[in-house]
Amino acid sequence: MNRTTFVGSLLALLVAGCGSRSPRFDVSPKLLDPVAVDDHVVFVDTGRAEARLLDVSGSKAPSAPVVVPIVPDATDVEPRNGHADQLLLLCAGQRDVEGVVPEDPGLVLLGADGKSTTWRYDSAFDRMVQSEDGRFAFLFFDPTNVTSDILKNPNEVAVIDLDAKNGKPALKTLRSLGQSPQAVAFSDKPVSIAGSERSLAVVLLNKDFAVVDLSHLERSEYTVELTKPGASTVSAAQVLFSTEETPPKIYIRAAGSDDVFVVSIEPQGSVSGADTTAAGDNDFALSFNQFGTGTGAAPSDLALFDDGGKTRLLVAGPGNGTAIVVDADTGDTTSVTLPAPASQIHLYTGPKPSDATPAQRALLYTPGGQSVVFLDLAGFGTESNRAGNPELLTLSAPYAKLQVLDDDTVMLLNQSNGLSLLKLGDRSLSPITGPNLVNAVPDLTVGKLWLSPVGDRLGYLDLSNFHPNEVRLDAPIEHLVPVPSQSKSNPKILVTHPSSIGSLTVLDANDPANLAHAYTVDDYLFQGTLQGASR
Amino acid sequence: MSAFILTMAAVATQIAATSPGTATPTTPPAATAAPAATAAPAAAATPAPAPAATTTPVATTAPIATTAPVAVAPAPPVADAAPPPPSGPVESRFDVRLDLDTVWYTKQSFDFFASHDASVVPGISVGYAVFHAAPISLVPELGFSANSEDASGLFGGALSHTSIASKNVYAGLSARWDLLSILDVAARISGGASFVHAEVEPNISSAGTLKDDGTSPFMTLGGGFTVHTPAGTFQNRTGGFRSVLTGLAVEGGYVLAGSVDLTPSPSGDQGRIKTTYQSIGHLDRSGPYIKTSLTVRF
Repeated sequence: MNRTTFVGSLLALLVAGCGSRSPRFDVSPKLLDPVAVDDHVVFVDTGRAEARLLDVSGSKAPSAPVVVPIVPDATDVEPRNGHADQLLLLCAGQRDVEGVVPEDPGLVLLGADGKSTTWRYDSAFDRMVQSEDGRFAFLFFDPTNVTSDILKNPNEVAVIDLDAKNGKPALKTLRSLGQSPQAVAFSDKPVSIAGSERSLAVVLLNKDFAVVDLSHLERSEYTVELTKPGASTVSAAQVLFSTEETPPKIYIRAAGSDDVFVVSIEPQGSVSGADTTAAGDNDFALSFNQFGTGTGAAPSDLALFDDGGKTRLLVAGPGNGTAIVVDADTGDTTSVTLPAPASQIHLYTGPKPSDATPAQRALLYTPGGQSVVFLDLAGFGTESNRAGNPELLTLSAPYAKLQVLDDDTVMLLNQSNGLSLLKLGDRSLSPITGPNLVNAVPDLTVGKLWLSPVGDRLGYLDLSNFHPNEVRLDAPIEHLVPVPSQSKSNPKILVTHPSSIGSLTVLDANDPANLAHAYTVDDYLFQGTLQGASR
Repeated sequence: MSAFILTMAAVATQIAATSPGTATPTTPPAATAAPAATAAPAAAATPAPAPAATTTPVATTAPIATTAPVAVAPAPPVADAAPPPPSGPVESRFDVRLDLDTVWYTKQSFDFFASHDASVVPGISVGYAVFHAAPISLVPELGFSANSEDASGLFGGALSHTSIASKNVYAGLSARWDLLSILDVAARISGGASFVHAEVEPNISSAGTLKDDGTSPFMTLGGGFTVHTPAGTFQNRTGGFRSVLTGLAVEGGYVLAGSVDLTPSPSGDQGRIKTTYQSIGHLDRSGPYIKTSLTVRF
């Protein structure tokens, strides 16, 4: 070793010995909005690729969060349908850039107990829709996200059976006529086809829709064209499954059309006469019908109801101020002009002031409007109920949102300030004055309406007696998170405060004004950070 | 620091004059050598009176005194008679050091407070050789050191500033072996405690700066060498300062320290709701070190 080499080696040793800060101390936390799962609140940090779960079930502050590594760049977090103790995290992964270890995208199933399962794939899907029972996750590309410079196939989708052990994502490219997925609707219950139960999904494309048999993902999907070539665009906007009918049906409302579309699902080969479409080796076929709702009706909402053992479709037609009832089996369509146009439907079963007998009825309403219409649905279009006995109720102020509180009570949150409570049986209104409540969060498990707070005061309305109250906290409120407790402990309401290290206050949801039951936890974002608890 | 050094030098001078182990003839022996009959043996027994013999009149020791009594007058002291400087080994009992310790905190926890692993800790220590049997000495010591480190813009700026300060007190024992007149080697063990103060300043927080204190016991085990001036380098004409040595010491070793659990929290009013701050973890305090010292012995 010559002298130069020796000196160089010595210098290199010295430089190495000086060391430098670990890169993890430079990574900025990027938090998604907190989500509650079971007795825990979860903070998903997309920057540091970790989820921090704080158990807030106890009467005292938790000593430390459970830190779970996740796939980098989570873009969506949702509670898993039908599983109060699980979350789904859609993650884009880490793209291959210099100085960073690349990582495939993935879907993470995170349990309240800190256990997680990850499904990997190589397309960075950024939209996720779950089936009603939470068994399936359907992943696709957000059609509104056009800023990405990543090469992608917009018709590629992934379906993951979350209940399957060692299941792998099923990737497929949907056939379309140049369109891409906009939304997905799942059958709320299994569909009986030729004696077997199936889970179906309808993928809404721009001008078409596709029906996918989730129980046989290896089979081709049906793609149905809604818009004829050269015609104005008709795009599916709402899907309802009717699994109790024989044959099962799919009802579809489409923007740009006054018709509603009914797709019957029939075993392969049993269809005759109707316009059918078959694809691949599917063992069922689709029978396609459409029903007019009246010129200019512009259907805006659909609802299925049972009328004497028959399933009927109620359509709101605000364009011409009507409501339409469709019998898909007979093709009968009955239309009634409402005293005021209504765009949304709330079905309920109950009495009315002039009839104490509980019966199928509908409340039709229009966010932004100042009135609601009641409609009797039992025997609609028959001698006993020829036009639904529409009844108008006018409010004192325009409302922005309807919130169902119980079978007999709905809450109409005013566009400006306050709200109105509507008793459906009595058809009576009770105004509640106060601040703007449009973003208020109802928590029916504790019978409270939590006000979207500004400043350091948490307001709430006791829904049992409609008594308003508030509690002042020690710091401004940033997020409000009801924590649905599955344990024997009291349910909690949790607020976070603006803080770069994490700050939250937990209150007893049954008695939020009692600060002796409250506690604040700070610094949970950096708990254990000296030892690198995150990775 | 210069005032301190000057003070210590003065103390060194005083101690050198009375140190029991130093060969420093400070009083001219002429006055005590006056009794003629005993002068010669005395001169032979101790080297110091030897110069006095050269100034004593020969007549006082001559045998002719037997024929006639001669009045013998005491010899006048000779002020300008300088003794030869002493030579041989010296015994410097006191050891005062100015230390500069560099400790490598290689665990990641230290990165929370600094952008580098090496932390420089200045300090001072004083030792006294309680045992000396050439060439080995045992030197107990007491020491103090302190330092601080800080960092900014951590976690993308989520933490504006962090800092940590420590004050360390310790007691140690060195075993020193004089290899050469200018070189000795030593092994050292010490133990003490670090009093740690940490601060974390979040970028956004209603709580302000968060603080925490902790105590960390530690012990060190190391070895090294000292290159020092030869004995008598600073000796003056009277033989003073002969025991004063200065040198440069280098020591390497390992600090084995208890970690400090840190839970920073604000010191002010915490509001109406009980607030719990979560621990950021434990700060590791162990690591290898190199101690570089300027040492003064006397």
